[in-house]
Amino acid sequence: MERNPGGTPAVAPPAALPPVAEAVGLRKSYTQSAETVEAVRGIDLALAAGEFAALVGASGSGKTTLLNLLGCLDRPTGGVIRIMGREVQSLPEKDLTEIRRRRIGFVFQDASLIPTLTALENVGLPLAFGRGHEGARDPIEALDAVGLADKARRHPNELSGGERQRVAIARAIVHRPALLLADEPTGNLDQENGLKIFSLVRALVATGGPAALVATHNQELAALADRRLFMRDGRFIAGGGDR
Amino acid sequence: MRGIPSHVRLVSADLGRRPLRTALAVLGVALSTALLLGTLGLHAGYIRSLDSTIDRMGFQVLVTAKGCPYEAASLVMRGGNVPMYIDETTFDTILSDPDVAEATRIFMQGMPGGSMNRVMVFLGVDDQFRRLKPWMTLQRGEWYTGPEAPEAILGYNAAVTLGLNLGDRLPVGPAHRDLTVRGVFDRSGTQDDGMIFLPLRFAQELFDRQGKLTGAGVRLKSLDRVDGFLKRMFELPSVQALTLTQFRSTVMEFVGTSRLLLLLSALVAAVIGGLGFLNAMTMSVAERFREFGLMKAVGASPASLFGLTLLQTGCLGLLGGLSGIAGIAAGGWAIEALVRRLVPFAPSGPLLDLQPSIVAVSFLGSVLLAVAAGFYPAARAALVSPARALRHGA
Repeated sequence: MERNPGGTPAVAPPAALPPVAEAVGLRKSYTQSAETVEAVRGIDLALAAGEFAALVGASGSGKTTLLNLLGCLDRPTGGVIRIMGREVQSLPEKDLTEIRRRRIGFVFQDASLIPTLTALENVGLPLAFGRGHEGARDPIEALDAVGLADKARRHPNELSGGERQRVAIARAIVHRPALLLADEPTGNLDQENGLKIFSLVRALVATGGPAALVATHNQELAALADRRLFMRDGRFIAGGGDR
Repeated sequence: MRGIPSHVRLVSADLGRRPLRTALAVLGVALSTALLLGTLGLHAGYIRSLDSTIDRMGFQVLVTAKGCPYEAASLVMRGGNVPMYIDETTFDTILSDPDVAEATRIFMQGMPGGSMNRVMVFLGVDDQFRRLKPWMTLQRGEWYTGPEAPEAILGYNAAVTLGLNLGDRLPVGPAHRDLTVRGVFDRSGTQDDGMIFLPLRFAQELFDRQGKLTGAGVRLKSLDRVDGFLKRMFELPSVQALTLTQFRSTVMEFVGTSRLLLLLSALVAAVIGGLGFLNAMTMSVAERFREFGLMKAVGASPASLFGLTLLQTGCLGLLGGLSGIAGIAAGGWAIEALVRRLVPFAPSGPLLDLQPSIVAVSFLGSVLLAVAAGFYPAARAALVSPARALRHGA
């Protein structure tokens, strides 16, 4: 059962819904300086609708690779990925683009805003490509949801680090994705701003927003999530599998 | 919905990011466009003015004293001192030829004069002149009172340049004799506008060339008989005859060669401009790898990024093309003045003819050049791996 386009909470409890994102025996290896690096080694994961999970691990533990695989930015070398029940690991690029455009929202460590666009235009960026964004939020509404509607016309260099990251979150939810993936969104922020970002994600998920998987190495922030997944050397060492 | 950036907005926002690089890329395309437009425009303008000048000579064959016929023809057409003469008795022989419909005596002399000491060209004419050039009408004043009267009729531009009007006096010739301005011709759009017309006999006397002519302009009863006429002229001692068609062909051969060289220069400039443009766009794409990765992550397809980059190059081509056209339109007079100084024979009338078709070809050429140079960077943008670009920015 898919989340309705209005973004209101589904009638059935989250546990009764099929996973928004699912990984079975997921593997990813690549060659670096003539050596094969196993970045992800047989991950099993199911992320349910309405769930907020934290991915905890040190640098190089495989968090980013896992997020890239789940977000259809990269292809696995083994295993299965399902997004909204559809296997995606072998889909052509065109279909992966469509899934990213409609189902997935990304937040990156450095916000990755386009400096020449205003905050509002950065939020509207995912709607600038392709057609058929029925049910998408108005960019100003998405900006309002992160408390920055009054700074819509500002450029990224006129915003603080925390504000930039909130704009990036607004951009990630403007098309009402089913899955929000955030890679160390608080990595460049102080504890106070980091807390604000995690609280914001928590609030978005709680009010019928997307399922969220947020990578962090901050245990204190991770404690705010419904579930914590601990990664080391490309494997879950705790919290993996189904909920 | 407000706040969704259009592709044009994405492109325009990026163009302002590196203003100097954008300006240089536009300048490269503008120079290529200007060179192509200038070459094609000069060629078209030259041909049109040459044809107009030849048409308005009023005769088809020029008979002069032996020497270089092309030099004599170009001097007669643009106005100048022709240092070779035929006897007037020869003119009578020409006039009596059975194929001649009309003929006029030509006596041309150039000498410094006027307030700015510029070269004034004097043309001694007889009544035949008005029959061969019926479009030369008097704007004001009257025709000479007699063939030996010390009177002048000024070409339109000569009257303006010398600041003379009816009844004014003009000292000319080695003896500084005073001429009275008797009339002013209407504007004809030919080299005649810059000349000072004198009664033939008076002109011969003024320059101490009694009984001598610079040449004779001949209009035949039928152009089919031109070969026979030329053959008969060839048999006359001390004269040569040249048809203006032959003169045009020879000039066009020279112009054609020059045009080819100029077009090759334009091509080289276009290649250099295109390579510079390609380099600028490739650098721009390389600097924005992370942004392209981000755009892919938020749903841009490879085709979208390809199109976006190509749109950017097209916009730069558009700007460059318009700048090049504006540059030529604004500075065409300088190019024309330069060409007039450099080429051995420049007909009167505008030398730069910016016909709409030539402007369109040059403009389209510049846009196509930019788009062609944009293909490689556009392909690089389209093939960006989002995961790699977001992690490493490359």
